Amino acid sequence: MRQLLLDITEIGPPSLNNFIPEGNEELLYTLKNLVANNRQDRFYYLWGKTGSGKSHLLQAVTNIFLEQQRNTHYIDCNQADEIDFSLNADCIAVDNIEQLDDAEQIRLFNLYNQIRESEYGIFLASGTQPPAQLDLRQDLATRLGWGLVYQVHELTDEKKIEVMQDYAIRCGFELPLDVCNYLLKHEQRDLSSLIRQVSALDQLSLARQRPVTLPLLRELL
Amino acid sequence: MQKIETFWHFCLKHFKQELNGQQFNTWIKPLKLEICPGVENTLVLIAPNRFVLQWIKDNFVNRIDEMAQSHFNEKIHFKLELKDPTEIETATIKAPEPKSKEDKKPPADKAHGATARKTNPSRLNPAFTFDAFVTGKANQLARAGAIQVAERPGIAYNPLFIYGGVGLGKTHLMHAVGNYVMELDAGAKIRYVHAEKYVSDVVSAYQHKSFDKFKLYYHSLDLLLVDDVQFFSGKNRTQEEFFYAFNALIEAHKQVIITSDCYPKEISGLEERLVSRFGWGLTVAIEPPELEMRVAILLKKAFIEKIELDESTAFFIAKYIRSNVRELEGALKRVLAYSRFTGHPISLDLAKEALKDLLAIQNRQISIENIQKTVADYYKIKVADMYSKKRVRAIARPRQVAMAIAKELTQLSLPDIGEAFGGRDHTTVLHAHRKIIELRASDPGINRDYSTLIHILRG
Repeated sequence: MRQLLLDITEIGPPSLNNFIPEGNEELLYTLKNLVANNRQDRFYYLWGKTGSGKSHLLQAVTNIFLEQQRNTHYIDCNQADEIDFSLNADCIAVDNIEQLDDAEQIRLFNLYNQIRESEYGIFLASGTQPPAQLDLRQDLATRLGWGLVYQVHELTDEKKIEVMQDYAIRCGFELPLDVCNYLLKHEQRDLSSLIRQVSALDQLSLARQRPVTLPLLRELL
Repeated sequence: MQKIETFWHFCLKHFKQELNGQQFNTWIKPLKLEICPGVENTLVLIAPNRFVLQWIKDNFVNRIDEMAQSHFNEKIHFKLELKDPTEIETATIKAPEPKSKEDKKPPADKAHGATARKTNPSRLNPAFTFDAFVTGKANQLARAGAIQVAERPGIAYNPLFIYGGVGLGKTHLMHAVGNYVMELDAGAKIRYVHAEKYVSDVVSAYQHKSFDKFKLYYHSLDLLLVDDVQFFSGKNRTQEEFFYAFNALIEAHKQVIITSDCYPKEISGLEERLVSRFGWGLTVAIEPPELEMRVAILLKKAFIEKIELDESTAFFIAKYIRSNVRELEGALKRVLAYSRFTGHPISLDLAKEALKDLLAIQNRQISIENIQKTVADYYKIKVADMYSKKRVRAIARPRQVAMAIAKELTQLSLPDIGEAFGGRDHTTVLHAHRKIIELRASDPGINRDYSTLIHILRG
């Protein structure tokens, strides 16, 4: 009989505390200051490879603002069909900005200018390229470069392995190095995908009553 | 305290020597000095508006204090007040400054949406003034034109058409005119509008059948500032409405200022009658700032933001951030953020560390191969023509442009560049560089091509 399991491996919603700062210490410090109302600027643009943690950080900031009862919008341009930027908010986070079509770029451009003109409002955005290399309207792209721009650095493979193994220990099992390397070579390499795989591997290991090994991982995949 | 008039005369005399005429007239001349009733050894500086009050507080009050210490034999305190007693806002001299402007803001923006703002019918940004505008070769003509327009709106040049690339200060300049006119005449009806907003106003007038109201408003302005007019392209009804507004204002000797990313005749999808009208007044370009000007911009920005920035650090930032002023300001913010993070003052080493991500992209990006490919694509010639011996102008000129750009954007020596262009001699590279400098000065087409290519390569 297949064993039913309690879900004790929930990673939790994105927060600034569960983001591994490795290589992004200054960015994390800046964002913590932002949510603690000790901000240096009102405009932030984060760029980096897919899976480097941009969405995590944007969602973490917007989650905190929502907890603080601030009128906050998180918009993922990958998900939204048609984005209406005629928003009235204290904080707007626009994730995956390069996905905006021409009309949406114009609306975002207007929104950006409105926020800039007003005394209040925080604007965050993310993309895979630095502002100057974004395939967006120049006037919008240069404005993204006007505020604080940070590259979100991906974790090194060594650090990813360390995080996966730490996570496994918290779940009560040891994750062999060859399994980690296999995951890094054959699966999506962003940390949240890797942790999801480790978590699934844990579930499978418990259900099958077998230790976590490469053959078990191959079964999972 | 009987010497107050003598003291103020003494101050005015010194400020006249220390500031240029425009600064003196804008900031110092409108001030009044009075004795603070009931408070011993305290003088009140009365500013005509909040903007001047803030500027004096940020930039001149310490100097006035110094003059007072040298003039009187006792400690004098100063208060700043607004002329209008209903709006009195005081600021005691040398009050401790918060860490940054941002920190002064109320905690959670709770009652305010991002778009909720104070009533400001002109939509002018008070920070965009002539004083805050750094002048160099790239923009001196535009600035001179704008000052003339500000001093004689509706008379000097109408319209004033400012064109240039993004982030070079067109918007700043038009706001500066607006602020200047507002300083001279607080009742002037001024409106800054981005072209996109004007288009949406037209759409809204359509939807609400309120064209009469729309016309009444736009035709009654004393100064209309339209930013990025290229966005009128293809929008016929907007162009028609703007045509009427433009005519009404010009006929009534009311000033119109327009900006665009290109020369009027090069804006596609714009009615001929508008294009020709845009040329009635003065058309001026703003070019990308040269190195010294970029340094000056950084130093000015640092001064305004009370950031300690030495020239060598400013030169370092300016050397690498070349494309536009926004990016330059963004880089300065990053350096400041890193200084806050590490707790170390801003220095050249700190700036290098703070901007290392940015520099890494640039170093990766600008290789001689990349320059050759970009220039070949731009002029629609083969990359192989960059190394070929062909001397027809259609190929030789782009090759010279590529060589000049390689000299400017890479650290390669002249012989290395020559080698990369089919084994040419270093004197050929030098000649190409000189030739392109000459041509840029005499041929606007080449100048624009060169600027665009630099922009593409620099990102």
